[in-house]
Amino acid sequence: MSLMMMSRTEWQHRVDLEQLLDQIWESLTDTPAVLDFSTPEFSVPDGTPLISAAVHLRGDWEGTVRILCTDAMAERIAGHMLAQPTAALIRDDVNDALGEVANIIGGNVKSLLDGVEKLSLPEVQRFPAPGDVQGDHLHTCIARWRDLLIVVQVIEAPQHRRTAHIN
Amino acid sequence: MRLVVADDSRVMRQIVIRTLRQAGYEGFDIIEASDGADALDKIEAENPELVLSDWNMPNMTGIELLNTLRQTGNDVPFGFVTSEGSEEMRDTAADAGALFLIAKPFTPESFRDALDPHVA
Repeated sequence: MSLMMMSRTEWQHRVDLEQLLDQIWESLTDTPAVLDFSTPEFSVPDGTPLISAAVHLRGDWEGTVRILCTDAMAERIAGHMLAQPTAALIRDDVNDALGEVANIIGGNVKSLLDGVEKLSLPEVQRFPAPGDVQGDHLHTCIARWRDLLIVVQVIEAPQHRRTAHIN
Repeated sequence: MRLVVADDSRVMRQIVIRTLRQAGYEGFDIIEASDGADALDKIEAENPELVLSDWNMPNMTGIELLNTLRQTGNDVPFGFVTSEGSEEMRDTAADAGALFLIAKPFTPESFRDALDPHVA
């Protein structure tokens, strides 16, 4: 099995994250897709509570799909997914909702890439900004939903950290 | 009609149930299961007429659940609702005896297309 590195151009040729996000939003939030992808960067004041959800893909191509947003955005997403006011949500539901969004993006990415054999369960983390929000990403997609942002990052695993065999 | 919805995400179980309703499937007796092992217990106890299951779950995956059911002689109608919709996954699901695979994100129309041939 040969492990594959991918250029940004090749990635974007294979995966249309913006179209995928539009479909996910319409399906999960039960609202028409109204995402705006024109925001150039994700910037929030230091100390802002952030939440991320990540899934890891393993196989001929290996990497991570991670989504990142503020607590406020995560609560809005969970509220729409559960059709509940945000005040009625518990933290587990918010974590669950964001994890599921990451799972769906990761599953669709897995389906679009040849030879990816394993998709992990979602890992959800909370941390204050600035935290680990930068880095060298294969693709970064920033979507605005009304006044709040969500970031989707695709991070390719370095060659030396890859696993040639799938358990 | 009694139906088991298996997904480790409670949020996704609620969205599946909401989408069933939007697709016009009203009045189902829906039993929720939080993973494959929980679903296996509830299928054996409740004898449902249809199972809708996620694929990637802790404890027991959806395909392990389906294989276990068939190996024990249980032929309950079974469909996947999963984020992975590649041809390879669809072939694996069909070979194991699944009636359909609905890929997330889904719409009420995709539910109707998959379920109508199997729901009276």
